[in-house]
Amino acid sequence: MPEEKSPRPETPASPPADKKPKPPEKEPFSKAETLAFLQSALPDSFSEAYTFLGQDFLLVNKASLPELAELLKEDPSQDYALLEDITAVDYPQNEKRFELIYILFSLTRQDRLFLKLAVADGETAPSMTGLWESANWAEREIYDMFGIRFDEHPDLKRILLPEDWHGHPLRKEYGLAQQDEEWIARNLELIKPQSHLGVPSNKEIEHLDVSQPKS
Amino acid sequence: MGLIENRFESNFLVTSLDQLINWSRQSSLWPMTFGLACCAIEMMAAGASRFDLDRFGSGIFRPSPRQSDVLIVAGTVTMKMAPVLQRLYAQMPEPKWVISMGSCSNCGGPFKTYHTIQGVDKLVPVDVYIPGCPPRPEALLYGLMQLQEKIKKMTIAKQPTGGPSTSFPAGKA
Repeated sequence: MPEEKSPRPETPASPPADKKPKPPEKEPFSKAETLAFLQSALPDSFSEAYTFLGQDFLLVNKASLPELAELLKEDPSQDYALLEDITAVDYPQNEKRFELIYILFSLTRQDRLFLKLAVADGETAPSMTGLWESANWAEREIYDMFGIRFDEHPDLKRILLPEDWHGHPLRKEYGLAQQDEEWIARNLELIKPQSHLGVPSNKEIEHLDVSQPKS
Repeated sequence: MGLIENRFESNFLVTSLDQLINWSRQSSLWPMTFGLACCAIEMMAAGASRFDLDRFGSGIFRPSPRQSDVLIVAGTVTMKMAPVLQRLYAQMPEPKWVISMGSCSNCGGPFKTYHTIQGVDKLVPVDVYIPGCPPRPEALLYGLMQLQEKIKKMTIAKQPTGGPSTSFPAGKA
């Protein structure tokens, strides 16, 4: 019995250009009190303050970062007691290619603040270990992954990769599947791939002569 | 076994002894505790009462390579762990076998990156590969039974051909 095909549902026409969702944009800094406090206490400590997708960012100047961080932590009106994480992004096209991101959290107000600091390749950043103990391992991880060094860090060495590894894997020039062949040759005894159960390996198949049938 | 290897044909004495030795080996495969990632959870489940590795004589996880027969590589082998794995394998007494459990140790799994060995068979010779991410405990039990089948075919009169444990260099034990 032939089935009656239901008519194909009409594909919805793409929305008109003016109704396409707009990409999110920067908004004015939402923490007015913090902004006013910082502008009066340390006016030249940051170059820009904005809110993006509900998160508050401050672009900090390197020289005044320790002072600013201490103020944000110690002043009772700010009280950012917890340094949740430090992370970094590599923008190779930028003049200062790395961007460090400090994520601060206020336990009393349940409120988050992001500090951003641009760092050039080879440039060092001030260590936050004197203020927050949690900065210790976070900065070691950034050193491991990006090769950014921190001044006055008590124990700046690799934290995840072996200490004698070469290269920093999260830099953009580091290949996606690149590995430190030299380290591997020094530390591992690799077994050469062998064909299992008489099944030829991929490399053997490439050179296999199939023009003559096996007698 | 060096005295009798490759010197005898299969005869009554050799095959009878083979049966006895292989039976005892396959019935008491003591695994080494080597859980590296989420596969270890499934390995623990296989060892617990519901799946019960003890039914196969393999429930006795040893904390030392010197006392274990089979290395179950359960999880992602990172570069930092790789030298440790080779050393532990070299410390295991002969005869020894390796089960590669899960995609990560089979081929690197999703981690085609800087930090993962792309297949643990580059480090140690693997006898049984168990696919899955992670494999269920039943899969581990089946892999173990396949290893038992492999052990059944061993003979004292011949060195195992392509035999993992004999072709591997002593390593940096």
